[in-house]
Amino acid sequence: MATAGVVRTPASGPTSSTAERWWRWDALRRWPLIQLSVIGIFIFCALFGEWIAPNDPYETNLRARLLPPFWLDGGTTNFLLGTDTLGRDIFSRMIVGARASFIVAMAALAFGSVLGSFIGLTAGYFGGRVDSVIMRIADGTMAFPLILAALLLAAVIGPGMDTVVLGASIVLWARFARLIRSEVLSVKQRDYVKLSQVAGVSHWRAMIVHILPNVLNSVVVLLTLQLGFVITLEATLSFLSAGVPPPTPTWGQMVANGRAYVDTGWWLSVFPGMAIAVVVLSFNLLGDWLRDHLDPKLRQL
Amino acid sequence: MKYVASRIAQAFLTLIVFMLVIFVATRAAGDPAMLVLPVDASQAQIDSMRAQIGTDRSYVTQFGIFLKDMSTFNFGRSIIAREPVTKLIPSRIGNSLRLQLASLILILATAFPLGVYAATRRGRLPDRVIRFVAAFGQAAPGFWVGLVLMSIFAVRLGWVPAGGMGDGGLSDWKYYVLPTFTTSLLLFASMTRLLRSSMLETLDAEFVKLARAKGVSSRRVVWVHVFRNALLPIMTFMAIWVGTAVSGSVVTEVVFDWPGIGSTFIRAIVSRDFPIIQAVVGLIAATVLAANLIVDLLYAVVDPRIRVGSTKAIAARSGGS
Repeated sequence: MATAGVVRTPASGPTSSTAERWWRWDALRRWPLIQLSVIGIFIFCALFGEWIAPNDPYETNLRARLLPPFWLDGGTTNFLLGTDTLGRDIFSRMIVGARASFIVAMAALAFGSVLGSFIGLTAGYFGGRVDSVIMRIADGTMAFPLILAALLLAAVIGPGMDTVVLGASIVLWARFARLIRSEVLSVKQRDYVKLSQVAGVSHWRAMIVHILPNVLNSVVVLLTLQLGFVITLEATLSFLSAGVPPPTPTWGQMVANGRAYVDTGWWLSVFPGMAIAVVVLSFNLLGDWLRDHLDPKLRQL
Repeated sequence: MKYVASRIAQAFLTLIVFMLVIFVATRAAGDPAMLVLPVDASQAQIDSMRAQIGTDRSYVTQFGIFLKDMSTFNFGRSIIAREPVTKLIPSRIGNSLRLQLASLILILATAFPLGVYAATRRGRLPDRVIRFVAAFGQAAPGFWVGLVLMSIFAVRLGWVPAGGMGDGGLSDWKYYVLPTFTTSLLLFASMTRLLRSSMLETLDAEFVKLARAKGVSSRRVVWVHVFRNALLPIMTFMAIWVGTAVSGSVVTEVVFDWPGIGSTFIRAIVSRDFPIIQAVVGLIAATVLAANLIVDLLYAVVDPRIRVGSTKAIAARSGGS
């Protein structure tokens, strides 16, 4: 999905075919407005969910169980996207459920990126044995199937938000470390780094002041590209009941609840799952866009 | 030769470290003796059980025994089913492999033509459509795709069963349809993207321009000159596939009640059946490492630059992942 940016629609000329004219709105995507608005809504829901949800997401109402979305027979506009098996409003639960994904993604990425960047910086800067040992560990970590590691963690320390964050960070640090290390290897060859060393700055200062700012672009790109990954991981673990436990609403859990009702209440799982797909897609596309603009050489990530 | 030896040594070392992690993790969950015994067991019973499974010895000795057990496939008894793990697991592994094999065939049959087609139609409508499908396939969570497919094709239309695997034979192919699609989507998406970008990069190479200038036909350029060289990242992909197949199979098997290793594992996690957890994680770790090792060695065969230890070639290779 090396989308917008890499492939520029050629300058409009009279020769362009209908197919190309149809896709002319692609020019709008010079700024990824659609992605940014989806992400904006997601963050807004995560922060202010309780206040904007039309109904109480925790309130059960056994007389209003399994109501369909409002446009179907029997649905009411009180419950826009219908209700679940306990009569709770799906739409409100989706709004409030954004928070769990948001918190997990932020915490895991903050933890993983800071740790990984620091390790990558150290490995790349010092090189030699330190470097090869660290990189072997990173490779090994990345080879291990993530879902298994996270599930193992859930079995050992019990499911919860912290378990998911820890599980995600285990893999994230390695991804950041590998990328940053390879960037550092080329940056440290530059003259200004060599000169600063000649001028006698400490290793620490060379790493933080002279090298780190030059690899930050890559960190930002990777952060955005990994956001979708962490949200999917959180949802998957919640779906497997190894993630954030009830009653906190999460999208993965909501899909799991709908599993037994695919015949009588498809809306139980379809809408929360759609929310995951749309948010993750937006983050991925934004990541692609950022990468193409900030750091085109990372195209293969 | 030196490269081969050092790669094998590395893989072996990593395996030991994985085993240490599994050992620490499962022991951190509590004394296995307490998990086996009823809650009101007397101290004498606990002591004798500890002596029996060896948890009364030092951790180093225990780890030694653990390594020996793992390498001889002596996984102990399931705490829940009270049967040897080696009796419970093999048929489950077989079921999972069947599903993964079907999905691998589907991925190879679809991702190759589509990835190449998208690259040769770069920026035009087919490319955009394929790229969108791939982008969506990477974003949509597998468990959700599975449930949506199930509610459309199994519940509403009734074309295929909603779960289970029947006898698992070819006559029961209908059971395979939905799980295969679900497991394949993510990898189909990543592979199409990878192949497309790899093709695009190779299409820009000097030797391709030379071939075109010599008047080689367009089709021959794409399929012979470019495709062969664009295959290198695909090898890396195959190693990743093993790891992702494992994760994908857990989700798919849970959604469709497929009696494979993934659903067994989830059940073991929920009931904290550590002998099974230990065996599954250990086997999978070993498989994934072996796959990575084989791919690395194959690289050395295909790309001579790696054999002589050229860092450029090695960097190019890891970039592909």
